[in-house]
Amino acid sequence: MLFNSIQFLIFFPLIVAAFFAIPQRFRWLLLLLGSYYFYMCWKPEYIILILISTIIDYYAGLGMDSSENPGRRRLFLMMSLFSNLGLLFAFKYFNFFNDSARALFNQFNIFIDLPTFQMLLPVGISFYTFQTLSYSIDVYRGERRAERNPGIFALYVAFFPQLVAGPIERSTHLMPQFYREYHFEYQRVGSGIKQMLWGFFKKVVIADRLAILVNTVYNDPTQHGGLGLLIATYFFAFQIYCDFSGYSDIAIGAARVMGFDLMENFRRPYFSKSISEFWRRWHISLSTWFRDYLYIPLGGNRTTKNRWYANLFMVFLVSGLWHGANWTFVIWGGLHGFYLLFSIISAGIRERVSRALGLLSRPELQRWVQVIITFHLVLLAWVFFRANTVGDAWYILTHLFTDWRLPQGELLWGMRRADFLISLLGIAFMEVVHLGQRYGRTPPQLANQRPAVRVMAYTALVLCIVLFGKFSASQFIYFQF
Amino acid sequence: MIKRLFIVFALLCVLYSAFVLVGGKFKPVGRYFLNSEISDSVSGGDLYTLCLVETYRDSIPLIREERAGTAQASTLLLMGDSFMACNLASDVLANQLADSTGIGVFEIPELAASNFQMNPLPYFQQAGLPKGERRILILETVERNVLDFALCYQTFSAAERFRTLKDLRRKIFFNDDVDYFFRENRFFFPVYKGILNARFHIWGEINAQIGRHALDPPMLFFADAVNFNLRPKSAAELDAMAEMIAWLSQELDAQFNIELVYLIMPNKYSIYGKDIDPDYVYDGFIPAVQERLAARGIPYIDAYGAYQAYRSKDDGQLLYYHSDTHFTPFGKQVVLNEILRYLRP
Repeated sequence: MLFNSIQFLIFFPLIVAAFFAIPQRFRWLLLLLGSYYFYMCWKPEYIILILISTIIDYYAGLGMDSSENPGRRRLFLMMSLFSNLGLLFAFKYFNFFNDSARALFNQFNIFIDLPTFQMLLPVGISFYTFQTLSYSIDVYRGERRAERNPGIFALYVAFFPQLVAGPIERSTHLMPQFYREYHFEYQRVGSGIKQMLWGFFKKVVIADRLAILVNTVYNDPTQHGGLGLLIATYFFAFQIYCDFSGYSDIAIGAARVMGFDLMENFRRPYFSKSISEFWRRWHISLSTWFRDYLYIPLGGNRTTKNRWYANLFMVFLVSGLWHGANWTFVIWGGLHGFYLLFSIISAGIRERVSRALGLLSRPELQRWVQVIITFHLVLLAWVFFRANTVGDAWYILTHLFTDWRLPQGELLWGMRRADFLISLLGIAFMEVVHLGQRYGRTPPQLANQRPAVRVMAYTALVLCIVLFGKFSASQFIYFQF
Repeated sequence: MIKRLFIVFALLCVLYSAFVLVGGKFKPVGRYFLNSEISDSVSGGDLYTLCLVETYRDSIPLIREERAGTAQASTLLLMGDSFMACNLASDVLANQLADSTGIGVFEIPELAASNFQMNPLPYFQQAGLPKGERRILILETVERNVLDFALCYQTFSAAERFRTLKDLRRKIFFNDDVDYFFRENRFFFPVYKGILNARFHIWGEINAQIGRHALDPPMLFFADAVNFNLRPKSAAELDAMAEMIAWLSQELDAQFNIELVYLIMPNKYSIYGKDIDPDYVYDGFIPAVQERLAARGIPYIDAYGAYQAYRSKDDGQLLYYHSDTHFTPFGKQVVLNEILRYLRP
């Protein structure tokens, strides 16, 4: 079930009403059944994968918890790792590695017929497998006790607001919340709905509209000139942000309506002054996952310099691969790894350049220069992320500054002029709100206004969504990961 | 005050959600609450129904006449998608053909035809049609669907296992009916329609299923049809399709002693596309298919040729409705004449 579907508009109020209407001891059951239903509306049989992951990790957790023997504990951890990563590999990466191996063999004139696995990628598999893995690793490390209640554990794996596209929650944060009793609180419910509205605005007014132009250009880049390629690349940066952060806002808001607190996933990432800051603001739940469960176990920065660099680069390569089974994602991850290493190595030089340009004495100007440079580095990497093939990405990068002509006819790169204008206005409005948030103004200021003003502001937002939203129930981009 | 309003609004949302769920999932209940525009006697046009922009609304009476007979007792069999079943302001083709020829005509019900993906072979096999006297089957497919249907003639299987389980699964997890009832119930429909009209008049947006539209004269075109017309088709694709039709023709002949006559109904955009889009050039899909059918000895009804011939010499009457994908009674008459010409050379 998509958040931006009529089904969800029906499902959500009913679940919330039932949640507050029934006694606390049955609420986990309602949420669990609701979550399974939410997932099964996409493809019912794939619920089996979630059940397999849930059962194995539940018993692996109990096994680790009940044993003092390190070897036995490691065995249970391996069982969890192999089953979850095995599912992920089988459904997401098998064909990718197969194709890559076939292409490699072909280079040496070795032609072998490797089998392909014709299965649909289960929605959200990367999210729920990573979430359950974090639980198993936490239990193994002794950072938490195993969950005894299988229902609560199953709900942790399948909790519908964040099941298919995160935030990837830690068991220590989310699971205890399922034991607490929540009452209908006007302030909290209102705040959750406002965040959902903001997410819907980003998704249906901005992201889905930008998708029209981005898809037209990126699905056939050779048919478009440099101006189209450049605009599509800028648009994609905002499309993916609005799509994914919009999803996170709806997820966080929906959970908050019922009383649950999910972790923040985006913090205005395009205002980052460096790539490392960008990764502290973009998909925070994944970045911290990789930090805690891959980067630090690899040794982090408490090792030799070369090993540290290798660790950083490795984490970004894996992060790229996590996003999709395609070399474009690996290159995207590699580029970010390279940026980060370069920024560490060149810190001294960059400071000298800043001093020479007189930027150090103008911190506000320096900050904006850094923000603009970081944004464009991220933008460059997005080309690989969005392009269908590495060849397409290369074509786009090498043709960005050629043939700057406006297209003829009523459409601008597949998009109506009115849509183009609404896109620009939507992005501008969102960035004004972000700037307000950055300087600590917008939400508190609105909250301090008279009730009538607040009602008008939120009614205007609803009207914007209703009048300018795209309601084709298009999938969220991160579903495919 | 705001808190009270908020709680009332939240309660209304919950009640409305429950109402939509019940109305969508239980059709006998839901039908009492459908909007008043849905009628058994008048249609606004199927394309109007998609976009609901009042400017394009037609008022077309629906003719309801019983169709009787069986395949066994009929000499002329008809199978087709919506054009065969089209009863906009005129009786269905089957009845008109029966009246004109005096022979027994049987039309395979539209729902069955759709379930069998316009493939008569499994339908006749499942119906147990005996191989009796020579019969003629006119198989109609609208242009935009013809490739999809024809390429599946050999692979389609009517054998549905676990049918009940699948139906149950569909009933529980697939919510198109709930979506539909959400929009079309009489309480929300005026709001929904108002929103669509506002979006159209404020910034010219129309439902994405409308591929092209014009205001003077008002004309709507179905997006699937427009996209089909604009999509390049390879000669290999057309050859494969013609081979499939030839195979079907042989099988019908061998198994049921039936002569297959193919009828491709042109997309409205194939006939009127140039009127709203002067740069548009029809790719000649139907003539190319018919040429291949002729080369394989498969008879066909040339509706496209008849429509073009009419438009080139007269064009006083519309062949398709402004707001519908289907033909007008006049457009139907032109096709009927072509069929009669084939039956009574």
